[in-house]
Amino acid sequence: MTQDIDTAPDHTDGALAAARELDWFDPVLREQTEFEVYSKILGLPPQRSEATSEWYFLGYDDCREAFQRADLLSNNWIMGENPLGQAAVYPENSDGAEHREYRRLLDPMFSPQLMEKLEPDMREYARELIGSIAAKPSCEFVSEFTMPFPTIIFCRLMGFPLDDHPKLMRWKDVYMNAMTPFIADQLGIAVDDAGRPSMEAVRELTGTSATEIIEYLGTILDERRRAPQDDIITMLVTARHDDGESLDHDELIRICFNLFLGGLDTVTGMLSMIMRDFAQHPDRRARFVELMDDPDRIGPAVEELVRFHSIVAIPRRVKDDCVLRGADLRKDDIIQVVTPAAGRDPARFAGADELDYDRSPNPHLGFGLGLHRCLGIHLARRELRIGLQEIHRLMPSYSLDPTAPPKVGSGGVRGLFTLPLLVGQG
Amino acid sequence: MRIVIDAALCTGHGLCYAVAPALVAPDDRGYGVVVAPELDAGSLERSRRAVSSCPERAVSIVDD
Repeated sequence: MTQDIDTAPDHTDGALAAARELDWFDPVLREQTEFEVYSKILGLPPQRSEATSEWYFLGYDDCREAFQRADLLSNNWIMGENPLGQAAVYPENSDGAEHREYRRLLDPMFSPQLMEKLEPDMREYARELIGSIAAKPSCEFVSEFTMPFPTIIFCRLMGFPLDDHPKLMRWKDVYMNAMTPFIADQLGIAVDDAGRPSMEAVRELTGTSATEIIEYLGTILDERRRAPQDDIITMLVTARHDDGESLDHDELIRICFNLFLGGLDTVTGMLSMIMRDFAQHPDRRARFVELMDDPDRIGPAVEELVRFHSIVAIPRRVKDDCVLRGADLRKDDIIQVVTPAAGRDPARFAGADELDYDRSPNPHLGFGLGLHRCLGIHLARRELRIGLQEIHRLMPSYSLDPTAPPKVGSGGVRGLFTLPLLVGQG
Repeated sequence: MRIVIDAALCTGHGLCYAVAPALVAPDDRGYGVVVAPELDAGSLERSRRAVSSCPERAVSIVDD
């Protein structure tokens, strides 16, 4: 009896304490390869974190409703001047009629039919990258595969020269990860006495890179206006608003930035998380390899990997004072909709902490939900499937390098900065 | 019995035509379009899976 009284409140206090400390950018949260953090906070209603003053929506139904209540929550969550000088991008930060129009224009550029046509090229890029890795005793899998693979496909889709992919990867690091000491060091950013990258240096480099990206995009946009090709840049310069007007230069740049930010870090992050997990759990890898050529099972298996390794917390801004899922929200509060927590909600998914490749139904929120669901959903699924199939055809055995543990990322998207692997072992 | 998709709720996740490709197909935006509305004993199970797979809860079976 005493024990019951002692343990029950303990759990609740622990959960609430963990929730108060929630910070999506906290490296401790990112280190969790399994469910230590989520197991404490699952089952809690929306929580306001004392660490960040943001609301955290964690439960499946709470996240689902936040995604679907575009009447109460805005995607224009960039408030004033962002310290890194980042500006609103479209369609991500647009709402209402404006957002619907952007999606009407952009959805067909990422349709399942168009993505299917890319499949032979995707396989070729994957084979080329994995072929040179499989011939070596060891590799750094993030820089050698999970980063270049989606980036090369992005170049192909957009109509950028494929050889430009290292330039894009560098810009992505500047934009998304420059505050991380490890990446700052690679980018040549000065660090202060406490080992932190100097905010001033990051801001300066971000500004320089923004100028470079805008110049780069401007040149290609002009080229495609003169000589149309079969690519997204051409589709963008020939697209028309409902009133028949072309998209103006500012809109085009903001859209390209959004595609760039959405297309480069996400599949990279998820593939790195999956591969680390496969290296640590050969049984999970073996079960995947067994089914990966079965056309009926590979689709659900990829969905399950997306549920299990969901990588994003998606922000929303509260439009006006309101109550949502019991949370007493104030105008301009920021909400983080934590998709990894939703994917592990035991109230929605039986055996949520197990990887069940045949899980059906599997209505996970890994690609978001509602009007803003991931624009690149059909691209991302295909990249994950083809990437994982080709990796395991050409490099069936690998293990973590015991002398070089993976470096966990700390940007807005969960993922690894490095994943050193020993090839041919494990 | 028929399978129907609520266009106001569908946002094009594509899970319905992944689990029931004989019943639903993607339009040019990737949104689901019902191609075989009338359900028989053979397609009922598939259509039930399409209903339960939709995270937007946009797919339903209507018994006229």
